[in-house]
Amino acid sequence: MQPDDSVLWERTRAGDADAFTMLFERHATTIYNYCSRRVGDWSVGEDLLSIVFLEAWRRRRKQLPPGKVLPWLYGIATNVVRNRRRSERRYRAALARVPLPRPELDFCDDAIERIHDERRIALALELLAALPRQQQDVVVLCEWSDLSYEDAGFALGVPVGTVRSRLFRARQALAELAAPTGHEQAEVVKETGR
Amino acid sequence: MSTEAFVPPLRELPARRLAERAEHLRGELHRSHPPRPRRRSIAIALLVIAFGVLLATPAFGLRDQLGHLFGSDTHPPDGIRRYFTNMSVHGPQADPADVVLANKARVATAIFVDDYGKRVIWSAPTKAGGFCTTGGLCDRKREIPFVSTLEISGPDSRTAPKPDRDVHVFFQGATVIHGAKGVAVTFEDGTIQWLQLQWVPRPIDAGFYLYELTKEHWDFGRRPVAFSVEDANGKVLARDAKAAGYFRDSQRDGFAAPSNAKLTPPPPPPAPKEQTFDDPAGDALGSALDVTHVRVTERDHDTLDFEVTLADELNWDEDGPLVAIDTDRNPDTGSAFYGTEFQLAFAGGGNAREAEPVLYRANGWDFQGQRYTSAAWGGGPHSGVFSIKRSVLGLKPGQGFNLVAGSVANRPDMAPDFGTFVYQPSSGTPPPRLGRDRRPPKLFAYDSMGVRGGEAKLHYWVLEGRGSARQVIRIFHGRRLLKTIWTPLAAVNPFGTTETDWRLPPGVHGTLRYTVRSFDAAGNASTREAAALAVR
Repeated sequence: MQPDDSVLWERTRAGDADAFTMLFERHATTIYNYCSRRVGDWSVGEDLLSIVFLEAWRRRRKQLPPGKVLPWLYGIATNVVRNRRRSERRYRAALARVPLPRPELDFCDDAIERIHDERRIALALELLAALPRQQQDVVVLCEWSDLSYEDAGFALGVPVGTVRSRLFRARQALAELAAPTGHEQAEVVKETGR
Repeated sequence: MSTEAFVPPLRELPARRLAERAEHLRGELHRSHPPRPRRRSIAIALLVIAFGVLLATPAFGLRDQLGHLFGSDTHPPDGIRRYFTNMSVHGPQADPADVVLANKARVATAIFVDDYGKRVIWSAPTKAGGFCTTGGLCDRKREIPFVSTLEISGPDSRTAPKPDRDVHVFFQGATVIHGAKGVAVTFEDGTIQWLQLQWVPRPIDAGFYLYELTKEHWDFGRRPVAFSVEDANGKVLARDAKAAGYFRDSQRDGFAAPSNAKLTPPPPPPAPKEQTFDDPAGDALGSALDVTHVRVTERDHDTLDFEVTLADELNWDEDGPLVAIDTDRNPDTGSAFYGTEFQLAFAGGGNAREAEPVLYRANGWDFQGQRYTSAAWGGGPHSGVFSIKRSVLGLKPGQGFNLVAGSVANRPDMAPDFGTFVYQPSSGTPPPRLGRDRRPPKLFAYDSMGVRGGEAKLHYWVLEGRGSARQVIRIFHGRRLLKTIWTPLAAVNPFGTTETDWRLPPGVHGTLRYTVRSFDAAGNASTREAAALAVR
């Protein structure tokens, strides 16, 4: 049976790199998706994933309440995405040591799927960009990543009530933005005609 | 409408890629990932080192030898290659900024000087895109738009520094600003001399100048004041006054003596604009930071530095010192925190958020935060420094102000413990006359607890601009008044809460209620605030 996050984090706090690697393997996909969706690029998402965990390792003395490791990682990821250039500069040397991807036997399907997904993310990000930054964070954490209000509040360092109110306003704004404008049909025709 | 329609797709990180990333992470964990270096400290350290090198090399006569080694050949001779190789850090783990590509060195600029010969400056690129020169200039990451430096050749360790016909004063500089065409030297008498920039192509991609300061410009009233980079239209792109300042400093030390030294004595060095306040160590309560020393200094360009020194080690991310400034020296205006108009503090902590300076402006009795201001910070484990321009605080040059430093806690250690101290760069300036105090204290009462028959601590927070107040506390059991306490007029610290002890009568228990009202020395009364007192 695998130890839970809190146990692994306590071991990490004591300097156990293996426990931290287990945490990485457990949450890598979640954080990878979170970062990729926020920047709209899967490759950049991979680098940001490494940065988030390196930053978490640097902060390993932090005492976390039980069950809050993942929300805390989300909090780091939010700040890493926000301060992307600064974070990349700090870990430039570490990123340079990432092994290059080995050639795939058949990458065609995957590449098409990636491009299609990235296009969908770009559309979602375009909508999201119309919101204030604080509202963007709660939408991505609560709507896209299914985090509870409490965990989102922990990740962002704000009270639960603030998360609720920001999410409410964000939903209202998104509903207004997504209201039909008459141009949707033209988009569909353009897609299918290609 | 639901927002679910906008949720972008998810992807699995391919298993092989996940394994590679995990392996990479495992490798990185065994390397040290130190906290982000303090850029300001590094810049100061580099400046000090550069200045030290500048002073030391002439003293050992190295500068002359280096100068005569350099020929006109564009290929770097062995001596130059060795010079740059010695500046470089080797090995696969070396930071690109520390790697100087000695083989790519080339002549940056050269001049011919009577009684001296040919003076050549070589430059070599760094792996990070910057460059270093044989004159001691280094911009390893291309971060400095324009920099100048001073070099005095002639006197060495075996000869006393004296005016000597062999002494030559050189200024050299470099700029990375594209579009820069020349350098204008401004002198004390207002005259300007224009120098051509020599642009060195990639990978160095920077402009250089080398200039010999002739002896007539060693005299008082004719010395250089600043070097400015200009474009083809004469627009100033960047300015450096430090190198000219170093020259004036070196004259005070006996180098490059002016011929009119006896006629016009050099002006005395300006008195450092500095003021300090010492607070006793060990007077902090609980976990509050123990402030021991506050220093206010004023640098060039009217930048104010507030340094707060602590007895204990400072955790930048969790807690930090604060400095509150009363710019108009009037405790009756601004916030209720001794009338301070501004507060500089750190915000951060948790979730890997870096601590960052926040400038708070007075907003009613309280402050309103304003992030990402032009405030800067630095310091070490036992001290924190806030730097901010006078203009941001609305202070005129030379204008004094009151200030207080402390920590963020329920019962913080302040310096001074009560009230503020004065920073007045121009001595003799009287403080503004205060009118009658018409502002009542601000008060908050907090729910408190006590044990039956024991002592209850009644918590409240009093904010009074002039810093002294007395309180009337009434304790009720239902509608029955149990006790009225009048505290004497005393100093109150608006940055922390206050406690008043009350011995509970035997037999009294349950939830009591108490009210607090505060009166300042002028008789202004606060609102009456109430809170619960739970007696177990």
